[in-house]
Amino acid sequence: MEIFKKIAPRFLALALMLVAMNYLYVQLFLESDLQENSPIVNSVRAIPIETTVLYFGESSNTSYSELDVNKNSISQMLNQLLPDEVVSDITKPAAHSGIYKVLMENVSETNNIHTVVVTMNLRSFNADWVYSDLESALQKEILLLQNRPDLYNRFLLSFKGYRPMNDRKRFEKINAWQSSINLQAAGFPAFHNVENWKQTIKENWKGDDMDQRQLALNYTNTFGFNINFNKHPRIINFNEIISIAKQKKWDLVFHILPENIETMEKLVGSDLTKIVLGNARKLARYFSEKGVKVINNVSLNTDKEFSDKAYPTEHYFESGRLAVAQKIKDCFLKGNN
Amino acid sequence: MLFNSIDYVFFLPLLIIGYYLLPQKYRWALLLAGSYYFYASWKLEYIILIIFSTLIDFFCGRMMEKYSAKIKRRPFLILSIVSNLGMLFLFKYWNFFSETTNEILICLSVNAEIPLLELLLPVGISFYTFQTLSYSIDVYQGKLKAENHLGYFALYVSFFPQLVAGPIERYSRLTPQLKSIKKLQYDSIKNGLRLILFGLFVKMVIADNLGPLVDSVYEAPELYNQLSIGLAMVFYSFQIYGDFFGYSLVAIGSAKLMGIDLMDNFKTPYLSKNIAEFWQRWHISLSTWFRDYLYFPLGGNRVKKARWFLNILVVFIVSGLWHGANLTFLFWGLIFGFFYILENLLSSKKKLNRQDSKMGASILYYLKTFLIVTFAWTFFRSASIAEAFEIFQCLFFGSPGNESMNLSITIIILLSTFFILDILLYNNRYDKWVDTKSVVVRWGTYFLLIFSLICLSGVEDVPFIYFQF
Repeated sequence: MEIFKKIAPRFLALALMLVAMNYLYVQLFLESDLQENSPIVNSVRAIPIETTVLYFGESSNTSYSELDVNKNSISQMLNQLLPDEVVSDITKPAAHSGIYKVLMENVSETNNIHTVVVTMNLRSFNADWVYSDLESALQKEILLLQNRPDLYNRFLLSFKGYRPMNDRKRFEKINAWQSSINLQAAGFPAFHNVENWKQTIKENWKGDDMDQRQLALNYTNTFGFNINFNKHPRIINFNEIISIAKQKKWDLVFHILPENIETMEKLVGSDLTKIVLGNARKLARYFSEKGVKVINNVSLNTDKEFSDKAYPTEHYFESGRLAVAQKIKDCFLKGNN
Repeated sequence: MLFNSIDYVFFLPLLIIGYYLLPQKYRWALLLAGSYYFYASWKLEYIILIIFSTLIDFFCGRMMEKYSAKIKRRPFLILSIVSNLGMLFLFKYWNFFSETTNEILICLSVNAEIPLLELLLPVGISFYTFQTLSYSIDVYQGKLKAENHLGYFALYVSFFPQLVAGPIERYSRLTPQLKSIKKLQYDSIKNGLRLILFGLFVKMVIADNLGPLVDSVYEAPELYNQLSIGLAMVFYSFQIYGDFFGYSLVAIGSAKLMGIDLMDNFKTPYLSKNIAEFWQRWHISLSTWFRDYLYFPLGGNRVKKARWFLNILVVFIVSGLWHGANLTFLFWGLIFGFFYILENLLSSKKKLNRQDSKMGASILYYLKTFLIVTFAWTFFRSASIAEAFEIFQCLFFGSPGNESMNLSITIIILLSTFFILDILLYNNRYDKWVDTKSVVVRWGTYFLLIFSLICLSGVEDVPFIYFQF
């Protein structure tokens, strides 16, 4: 008992010190820390006050092709297609719902935003993206922006609360995740899991084009999954986004990005496209039931609209970006009518 | 699990609470489970190695205990040494040995190749194998009675605060403490927390802020001007000191929370007048290990001078190779051995004693030792001998680039603070030093340390340097 009598006043002194430290930190170091570690905050701060529609996107929002005459992003095209609205964007390569959520929390409520459009990338649901090598850097960048006391955020940054992962650990996690996916249980083909499926592709590949074989394996690896709606981190984050939008009184639009269905059908077959289309449909239904407008563009673009041919990405030529922007515009017009 | 991670922030208090809540007779089980969990958080499979090492040495100890004649004990000592060093060789040195041998075979035009193994080096393997070896040797020599409780022995091998990077404890020091009844003492908690706080400050605020600066220069020395290269070399001396000293303090502090005293591993090493003194102040648990189990058995200094010098060189070469399977570590050890011998040849004992009384001369000697150590660290830090020479070439003859190191005023202030603190703490430890100060100074330092720890720590994930050994 004696020891607790000694410790109690010291704990109190420590608590007071922490309050003082928080004040000092905010006054002296927070801004420089934000500029150094969370420069994305500048994109959030730069949202024009007259913005009415805010678009959250990742690399799919950007032009990556030299062949594009019109290099406008999807959000810029949307801005042109909706003359009555002012569309601004926050674009962060490799971002996903967990990142959008934190950025949304940081958007000031003293503006004219009435609708937020959030990119939903099916590929971001796979293990490779969840445990991507870019994830640590992304988590580190948003750590200081989390809705918590600033000193606590800095404490987490100091103690590596962004959970850095080395490659070995990442691959272990990816392998564990992928082997836990039971494609048979999900009603899909006679493969236990993705590894099993990839092995079959390797063994049965016809022809000498090893690049195409590798692409087929990449498509299988990337899209051969089913989504556990109860515990998938992306689903949890999208649900949090819905709560934030409700709080901030924003209408919410999720748009599922187009995937190269044509190529995956050609290289892997209909089993994989069924999984992709099924996952997109389930996502659309799940979030529509929660009152979100969901635009399912997963099969919108054909192979010729995709600028990357060697790896599954959502990088589109201008025609592809325009098609997406038009679909979002249609959704707006429908909503207004 | 790293000491500077969120996981440890939760792990340690939970374990300490459990430790004091449990009756003494069950505490070893909790600490053992906690230690295995701590170690398995790197890789579950590593546990197998530690259990293997534990069982072999426990068995060898028990068997040696049975016989009084050394001749009958010897096979078990050999079994212990071969299995521990064999494991170390396989995981740490096999590829170095294979690559070197294969190069020699190519030079000799022999058409044979020793295969390389894709094995991940288990964290802390060099530390715990040395710890268990000291037990086996002591039992063999009759200095110790073999442990008859497998649980306590396993805990001695794997006690989490010092498991992965020391201090390398002796059985006779650690195990009696693990077995004795420890009551919750205010002083233990207070001093343990003080050491953890200061250790984290040194690691996270000093070493982790210097790390990225050093890395940028070492990755591309040709881009930097001579001043930046010199600074990077000096900064590395402080980075590795802060990194390892900080780790050791957290280890000692964590054990202290349970009322267990681990040995000090550092005593202001950069205030050493010569290399011999440096090694009495740097990584003390390793240097005393080498002294007791290699240097003395070789004859120590009670031999002819030439043989003594050879003994010194052998110890430093083995010490270098203990750190890693790379020629850079061998070179590093040789440098220390060379300067140790050179200093001995140049200075008589009398002369060294006279230096003690002159402040100005002392500073010059400190500086000389620091420069030698910094020179040696350059090999330690470099990925290859060629890389180290490139650093020296750029330092002395300039480099094509003229970039300056991105040095901030905060770094300069922090490093100066650490330097001053280190001088103030000369031959003393923070917990004891601060105890003698007034309440204002005490709480003032707590405030500054906690504030710097939270607000000024490096944000990059810089692992403890000694974890790779």
